[in-house]
Amino acid sequence: MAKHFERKGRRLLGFNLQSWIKGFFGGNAGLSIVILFLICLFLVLEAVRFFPSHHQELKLSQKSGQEYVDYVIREADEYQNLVSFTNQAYFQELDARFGIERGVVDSFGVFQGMIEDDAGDEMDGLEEARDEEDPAALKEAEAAYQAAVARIVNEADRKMVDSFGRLAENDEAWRSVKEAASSYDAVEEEIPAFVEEAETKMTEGMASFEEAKALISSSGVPLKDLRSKLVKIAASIKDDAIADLTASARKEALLEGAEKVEGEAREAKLAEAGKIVIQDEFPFAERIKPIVAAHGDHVAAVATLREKIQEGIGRLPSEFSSEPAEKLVGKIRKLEPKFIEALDESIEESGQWKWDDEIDWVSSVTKFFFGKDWTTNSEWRQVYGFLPLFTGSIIISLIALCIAVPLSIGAAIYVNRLSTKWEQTFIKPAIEMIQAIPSIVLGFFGIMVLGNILLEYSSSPWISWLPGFPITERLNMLNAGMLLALMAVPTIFTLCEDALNNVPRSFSEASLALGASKLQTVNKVIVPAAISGILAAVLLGLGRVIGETMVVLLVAGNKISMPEWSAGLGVIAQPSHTMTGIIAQEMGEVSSGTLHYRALFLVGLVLFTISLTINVAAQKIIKRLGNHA
Amino acid sequence: MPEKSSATDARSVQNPFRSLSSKQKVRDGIATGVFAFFTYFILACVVLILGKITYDGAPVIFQSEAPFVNTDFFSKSPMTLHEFYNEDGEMIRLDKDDFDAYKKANPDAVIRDEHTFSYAGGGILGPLVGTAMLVLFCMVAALFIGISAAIYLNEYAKKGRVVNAIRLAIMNLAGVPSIVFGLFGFAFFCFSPIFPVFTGNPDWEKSLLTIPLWPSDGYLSFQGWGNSVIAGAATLAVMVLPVIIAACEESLKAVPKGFREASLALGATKWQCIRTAVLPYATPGILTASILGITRVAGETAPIMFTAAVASKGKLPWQDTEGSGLYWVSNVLTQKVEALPYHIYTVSGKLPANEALDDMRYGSVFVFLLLVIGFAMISVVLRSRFRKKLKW
Repeated sequence: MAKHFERKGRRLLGFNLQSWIKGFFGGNAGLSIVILFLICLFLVLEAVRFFPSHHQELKLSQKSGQEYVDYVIREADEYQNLVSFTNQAYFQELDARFGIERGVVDSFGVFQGMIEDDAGDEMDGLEEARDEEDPAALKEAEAAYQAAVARIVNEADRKMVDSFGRLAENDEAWRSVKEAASSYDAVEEEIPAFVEEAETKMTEGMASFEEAKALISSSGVPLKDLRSKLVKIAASIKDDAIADLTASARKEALLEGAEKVEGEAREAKLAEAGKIVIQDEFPFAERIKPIVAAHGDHVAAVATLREKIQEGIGRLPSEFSSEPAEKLVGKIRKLEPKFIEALDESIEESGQWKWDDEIDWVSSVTKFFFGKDWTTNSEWRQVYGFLPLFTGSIIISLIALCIAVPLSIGAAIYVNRLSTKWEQTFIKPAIEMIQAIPSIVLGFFGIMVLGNILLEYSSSPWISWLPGFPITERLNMLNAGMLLALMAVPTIFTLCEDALNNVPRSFSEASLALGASKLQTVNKVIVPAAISGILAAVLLGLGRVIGETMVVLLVAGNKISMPEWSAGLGVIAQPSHTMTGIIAQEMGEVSSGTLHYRALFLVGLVLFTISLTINVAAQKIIKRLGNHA
Repeated sequence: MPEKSSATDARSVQNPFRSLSSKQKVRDGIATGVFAFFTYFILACVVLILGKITYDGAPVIFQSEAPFVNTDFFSKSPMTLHEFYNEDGEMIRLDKDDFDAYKKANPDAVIRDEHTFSYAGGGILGPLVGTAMLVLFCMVAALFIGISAAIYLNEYAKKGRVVNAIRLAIMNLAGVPSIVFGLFGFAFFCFSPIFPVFTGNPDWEKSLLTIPLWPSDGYLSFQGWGNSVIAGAATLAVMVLPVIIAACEESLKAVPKGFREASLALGATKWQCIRTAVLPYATPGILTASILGITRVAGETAPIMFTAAVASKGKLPWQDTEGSGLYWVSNVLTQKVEALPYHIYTVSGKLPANEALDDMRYGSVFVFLLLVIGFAMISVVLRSRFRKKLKW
């Protein structure tokens, strides 16, 4: 009987056709599993190798004194900040008080330049004629020069000459400048009295501010000098140390190369290899001496800075004609105590700094995960601190969820329980369709439209009281969060709707039969029964938002720094960078195997872990809480 | 006092079927209103976004005169836009080709105040072709491997812990951010020296193994694919693979067990059973899944940013490619390509805001959106069609 079902197909290598087919499918399944496994493997391998290289880099920057110099750099940068605020305030005030005068002086200066450039030939002719003392020629040359100047003055556009537009309204001043320019003798280089007067007025009016400004900008000169001196020393130590580290490898490579070639080439290679000195140990102790010795200078420079800048800030005027200047000076006054405190701290810490403290490998991990700075494009030193990227991603995701969760849960409840049949048939596919909108399109919308809308309307009085409003930057976390909310909506909505759908009909029927209203049924029966599904939906929404790349790359502002927490809830209006954004932005420029490359892989691994954890957690929640429904 | 308490008692045993109190009705009404507002607010946002892009993008694509479509936009690649004023002070904008032709045609034309804008002129032929190539290669690979893997997992593999674990792993990988796949593709397909290319001059430093192919003077060099169409397509394929496997398995599972049992009972071999009793009924689901896969792949930017895409290329991939036969194919496949989403990223994210660029920006976004949403619509329509047709 069994013979009927037996088939004898052709056999190939001992397997029949069926086994081959099974093998084919099995092979493909195996291949896809291998690929998926390889993803994890590659990520982990590249990412883990970051730590040893990072450790080495940290050790090098400690032993070369870069760490110490960083204290000086930070102090100088903060100081520079104050100086630039002072300068801004100065020019704002100058414009407010002596805008016309400044316009006169500047415009006349531009005219001067134009006359010297465009009427050069006529000027030469005039000079020659004056030397020759020939009245006829002199007259001719004078006429030519005056014609040229008149042409220049006539052609010159008011806006072009006065690049700040300060003379745009003031016809009288503009006419005087034109007259002054027309009668200007470029050969004698005599500045007309009218212009000189304006200049004197400006200098006298701003004298006290000018003095304070000069004090502030001179206070940091020793520190800046020290900075440029130390930077050079530390950089050269580091370069030499790196050369020393690779010396033996280079020597080996040269010797190996010499084996392969004959004659002169061999001699040359051997000679070159001979030049490379392999030291037992790089003499860090010797080389670092100037940096260690500079601590005294450092303390002195900071003391000068402290004293002078306090005096300078004290001398800043307290009454202003310009509002921005007043604000800026207020800001400087507010920053001053913090700056002084930071200086003291920095001096104290740098005093305790030692070049030969042992750095353990744990710090190469903690410095990555808790570092607040991510600098990769500087020649000075590469710093990999993950914290700003992480906080950026988290804040943006939280903003997105705060918007998306109520909207999509509300919509799911409405569509599932409260709407008409007809509404269901079009709302559901419409919201699901949002998923098909590519993220780059949303990012595009954010950069082209939403940013401008936020910028424009956030200052209108009915919403400007919101934290962070009015917004000053077009691209910021709020903008990105709003767009990401839209991306999270379909995910959360669909899953929520499913969860609500899965609540047995008898639950709601029982509740309604007891006399509960529709809303009571939803609130007290359906939502509690579907809560596991809703939680899972929110988690998966978070997973979608945190892994999104293009929107944050385009819209979040890409500024790598910790948010300024002092703004309270207003941090949402600040720009930031994200984990996904940094990979997308920097991966294209790194070469494989470098520290930077591995740092990006480590960021990728963290992202991967986060999204896996979220997925697994969502499944667990459904499993654990979903049983009673 | 006792009167009052009896009154409350009476109220508490009121008719349970009474209509709602007016307070409750108001509360119900408000809550329903809020939920409805949320729903329509979401829809309004979508309409606003799509509307704005259509409003600014459609005029770039469509014209009021025959042929009604801006053919230049689809037949040229992105190039520099020249803006200048002619003798009469009229502003003229021409892309680079037209500008060169214009200068040649009127050698003594007055050109004043000339400005150039990169990427703002021409059309989007190159990016369209690049995206089509990426999607095509990606889907061929992903569907081949994905469907086979799904068939194996669902039909052949013994049900048990291992298969469940694999299924779980696949499901979880479907939620991994696309940029992570890009990272993997960059390390694996672009730089792992296990992927071969046919080339005349191999990269000796990178190459793991170089086999001279006699009698031609080329080599088969295992040096990785570099940043290229094929590496990008492979990266995208890896990205959609979990999605496709999961969706195909779903549609295979939806075929009733009775079909298989009946065909096996009639003496069909396993393969005959799959081919005749399972696949025909799973095809609609698989088709829907693959179109959804196309939507996802075409819309992704992050994985191709550093595996395949280039901002500007000037030529189509098959133009001016050296070599012949196998070498030509290999050279075409190992080129970088322009891709529509990356093009959008370049013109909107990397270049400063400028009114001259707006046509290019909105035009490409509009076309891109039409394509992607079109595919998504097709899959939705197909799904509902098949659902009506196939019922058991």
